[in-house]
Amino acid sequence: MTTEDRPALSIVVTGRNDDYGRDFTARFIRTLAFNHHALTERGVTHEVVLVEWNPVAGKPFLTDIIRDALPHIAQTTLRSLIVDAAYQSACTQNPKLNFLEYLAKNVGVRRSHGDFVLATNTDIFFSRGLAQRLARSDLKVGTVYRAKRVDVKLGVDESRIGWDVLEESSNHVPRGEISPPLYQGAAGDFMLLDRESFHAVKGFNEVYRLARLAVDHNFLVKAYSHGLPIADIGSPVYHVSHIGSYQLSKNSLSVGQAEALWGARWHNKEVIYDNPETWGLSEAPVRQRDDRTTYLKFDWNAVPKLADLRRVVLPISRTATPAGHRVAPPQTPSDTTPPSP
Amino acid sequence: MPGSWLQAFGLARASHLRSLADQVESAKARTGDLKGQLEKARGEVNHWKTRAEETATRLAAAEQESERWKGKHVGLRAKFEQLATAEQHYTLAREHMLCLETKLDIVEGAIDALDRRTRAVLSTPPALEASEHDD
Repeated sequence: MTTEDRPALSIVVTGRNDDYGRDFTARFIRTLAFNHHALTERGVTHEVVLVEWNPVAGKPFLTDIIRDALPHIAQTTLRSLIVDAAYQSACTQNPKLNFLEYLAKNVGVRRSHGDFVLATNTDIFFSRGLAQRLARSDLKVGTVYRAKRVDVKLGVDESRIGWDVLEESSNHVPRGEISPPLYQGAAGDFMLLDRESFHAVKGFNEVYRLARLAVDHNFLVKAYSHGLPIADIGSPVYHVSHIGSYQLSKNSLSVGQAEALWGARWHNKEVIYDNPETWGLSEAPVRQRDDRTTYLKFDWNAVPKLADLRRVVLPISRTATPAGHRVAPPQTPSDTTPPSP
Repeated sequence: MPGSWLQAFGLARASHLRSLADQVESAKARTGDLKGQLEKARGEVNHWKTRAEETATRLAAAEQESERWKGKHVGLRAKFEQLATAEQHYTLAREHMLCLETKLDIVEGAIDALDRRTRAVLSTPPALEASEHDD
């Protein structure tokens, strides 16, 4: 892909056709259409990289369902990476977990084409301010951008959701602010970084593969230790609460149930990682299913070591804001579209 | 001029004598007051002398104490530095312990995963084959 063809933004999401958290597919379709519209309207060139991890045997691919539901987006914006289910079994260090979310995200980050890569989730709506900020094309290279997540109350009518509903504060569930230096708090819902820096950090932790919980926070510790400043992008993202979400379920499930879904608590704030060069299953052989869908075939050579202990490391302490701000590369003409009013 | 006549004989008028006697009494009374005040002032001087002596004693004691604390301060400072070093060692040790715990978790997880794979292989035909969908 040439520099001219490269989109300004790659949006990496993961999922599978397992109805996670109920109405998974419907929620994904809603947010995908919503965010695509918001970005397109403002001239932000983008691609959505869907990583279908551990596809459910005997059920249609999530990719195909999305393509049928949103053909116009599927033909222009969506790129799918279907990862053979055997990778889940081969990679996991916790057989109770059935979805190594951040390994899946790494697959997408590694294969993204955009100047900036946003790792997010399938049920996250962009705010108006966020879409405008992305359209301004003034993001700094070498800075991790975070956005506060605003939870919209459970049971809200999602059939006609728009910014009027999302922005209405009486629909919100109170939630803390994000604050420096790490701006943690639902970080997995919004982690934006230029592709080069994402690759320099080598993605999310795939050395510790026992949990989904707090791997996002661990990435912030890693990035900070790596010398990347972390900043609040200034506008929130919205998440409509649903049954099965971590926020709603963490206090109602038993320890065993919670561990099965997200894994146990671990030393995510104190211990980081140094992923191998083959992070994101870069060695996995591929088969092109069609021009927008790639299938990652299983190969033991692509599987990271089951236990790679020397790659478990301590972060570098930093008392001052890390340096490393650089000026963003020149934007392609399509990126310089002025923001819509 | 009876006054000047009496004066010529070394005598004074009775009224003059009374006045002089009053003045003498008044002077006596004043002397008494002054004596009283003098006594009071002496008392105060003695009081302040005592206070000054006490203060001097206290000052000497404080100086002694200060010298003692100076000596102690050096010892405490050394102890504080030792404490800071110990704290740093503790932090480092804790970090390494957490790192080791994480590694142990990974080892345990790996053993668990291998155990399941082994059981799967032993109980059924090969389980970890590529499972590509027909599409």
